Formats: sequence, C-alpha cells, structure tokens
Amino acid sequence: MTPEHQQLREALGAYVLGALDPAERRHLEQHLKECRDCTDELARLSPLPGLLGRVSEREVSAGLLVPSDDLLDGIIGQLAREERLLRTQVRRWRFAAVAAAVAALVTAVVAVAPWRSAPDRVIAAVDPIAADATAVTGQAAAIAWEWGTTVELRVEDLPRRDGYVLWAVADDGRRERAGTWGVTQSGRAQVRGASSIARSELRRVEVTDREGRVIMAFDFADTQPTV
Amino acid sequence: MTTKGIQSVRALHDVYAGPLYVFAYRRLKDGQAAEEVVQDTLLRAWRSADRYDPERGPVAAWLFAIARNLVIDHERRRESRPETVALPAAVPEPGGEIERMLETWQVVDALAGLSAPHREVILTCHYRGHTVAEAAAMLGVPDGTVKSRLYYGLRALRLRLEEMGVVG
Repeated sequence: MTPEHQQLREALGAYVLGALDPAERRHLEQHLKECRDCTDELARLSPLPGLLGRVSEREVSAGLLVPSDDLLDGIIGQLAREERLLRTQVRRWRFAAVAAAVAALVTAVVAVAPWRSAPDRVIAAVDPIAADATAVTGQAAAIAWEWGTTVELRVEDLPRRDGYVLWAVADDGRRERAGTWGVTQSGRAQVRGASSIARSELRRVEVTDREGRVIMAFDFADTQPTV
Repeated sequence: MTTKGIQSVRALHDVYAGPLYVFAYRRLKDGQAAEEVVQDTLLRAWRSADRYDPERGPVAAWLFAIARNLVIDHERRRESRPETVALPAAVPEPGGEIERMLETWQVVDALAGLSAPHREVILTCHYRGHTVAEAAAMLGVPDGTVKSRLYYGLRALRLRLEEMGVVG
C-alpha cells in the first residue's frame, strides 16, 4: 500500500463516525469507487456506529455500566457462609442443572463432584405444592435413629400462613405430626422435628398450614444413603 | 465451598454479571443497588438451580426475570413499600430485550478493553460529535494521529466484538 493509500485507509474510521470535513470526505468517497479493498474494509467498520449507540456518552466516559471487580467475591463469600451454616453437601447436585445449562452457553464444562454425605443422613429438595409456594427454596434432611427419624428443615421464602405443621408420611400412608412452628417475619424457617416412622419407611415430609392444606413436600421415596 | 462450586458460580458470573448489571443500573441509576441486584440474582439462581427448567426457556431469560423482580423490589423499597420477591414462575422478559442487553454489555466490555488513547478519540468524535480537526486541537495531536487512532481503535473494537460473536 502506498503512503497515500494508507492515509485514505486510515481515514475510514473517521468516515464511518462522520468526523471528516466535507472536502476530505468527498476525496475518500472518490477513492472508494475505485478501491475494492477499502470498500470491503468500510463494510466491516460500518456496523460499529450503531453498536456504539447502544451506550451513552456518560455511561462510557464515567464507566457507569461496569460492575466492580469484587462482585464475584461477594457472591462466593455469601455462598461459603451459607454452606458453613448448612454443613451439608446438598448443593453438589443442586447446581448440576444450572451448571449444565451454563455449560451449553459458555461451553465451559462444569463437572459435578460426587455426593458424599454421612450414611445416616439423606436430603431431599423442596417441592412446592401450594399455588403461592413457587418461591420456596430449601431442603429437608432425614436422619435415622433406632427409635425413628429426625427431620431437619431449612426453607426460605415461605408463603405466609398463621402457622405451619411438619408431617412425616410413611410408605403405608401413616402420617405423624413431627413438629409445628409459627410465623416468621423473614419467611425463613429452620426447624427440627421427630417421628417414630423409621427412615427406611419414610416416603415424604410435608409442611401444611394449621388446617392441613399442603404447602410443600419433600420426597424421600428414592433417596438412598450413600456409604 | 468446593472448587467446582466456585467454578460454576464464576461461569454464571462471567457470562451474566455484566448484562444484568447494565439492566439493573439503567433501571435504578445507582451502582451499589445495581450490584446488590446482580449478586442477589446470581445467589438466588444458584440456590434454586434444581428448580430451573430448561424446557421453559434459556438461562438468560430466567436470570433476567429474577433480576427484574429484584429491581422492582428495590424500587418499592425506595417508596418504602416492603414486598417479598418471588422467584418468577414464568419468563415474561421478551427475548429481543435480553439479546439487546447482552449485546450492550459486550459493547461496554469491548470499549473498556480499548487503550485509553483509542477510547478517548472515539468518545470525542463519536459520542461528543467533534470533527477530526476539532479533536486534534482539543487533544493537542496532529489530525493524522486522530484519524489513525480512530481507525485502529474501531478495528480493535470490531475484533473484540467479533470474538464475542456480536458481529460476524
């Protein structure tokens, strides 16, 4: 490329942004009629002004749309605190679904670590039943004892009721009330209850309101303790 | 937290934190509130990952629907009307808007990745509408320098956007 051609080529940036003075613009347009290379280059640059228009001058100059670097640390810190609180390893399988979807999108392969939990403890995720319970998150753990089963519940975003009742349901349909609790402002509950139903016979754990309407359930039919 | 867990939440963050932040910032006009929304969105997504149903829509739509609820919650709190945020049952966000938010973030990210002199001439000539001659006078450099910075700056921008798949 001659020095003159190089100069014309470099003027293409100013040209697509409309920053050339009229004389220079006409000169460049004349050149574009004869130069296939420069026309191709112009075609490659031409989508840029439109894309730049997605953000405003103030957003760019003040960096308003760039989140801070410690955002991720905040998330990881919060999750680590919750994890310590829970002291279970239930999240291993829990993130599998999102991890798989993310993998498809970012082509990052996220392997799922093997589940290792204490053999006397099994965990089931919440299954919302009531129409206003879709926001509920949490899980129940069932712990086997000689005399029966302890159920530990940890849930968030409970729909509002006057009170809650925890039920253990056996394979043969037997139901036992395993605990009750009242309203919390936060919508969170961390509850422990007990039932004489053996864990091997425990089919479901349910949470109902005082009238017995089911709000959510935890299915233990297929959970197997891993040794 | 396990290393795998951190990797997975990092993957979510790397792809979606930026676009979600653009969305939240533009609604709330407050950087700190916007960051809270992004953090809460990713935390909620993480906690309820087992309830994510791919049949009902892509991850992006799900995340934006969570973020939208959180933004609304923030707006209500400003008007001191406390409400609880529910995880979205359906995915109301129109696809085009999400696509646009992802693209906007990619433009932001690409601009942030340019060298300072390249960004400066693009700001001066594109965003502030100055001609090459005006920009040269303002920045105290020859006209030719402004032109070549614009050209190589736009090329660098295009390359970055190509890498992100915004332009083909």
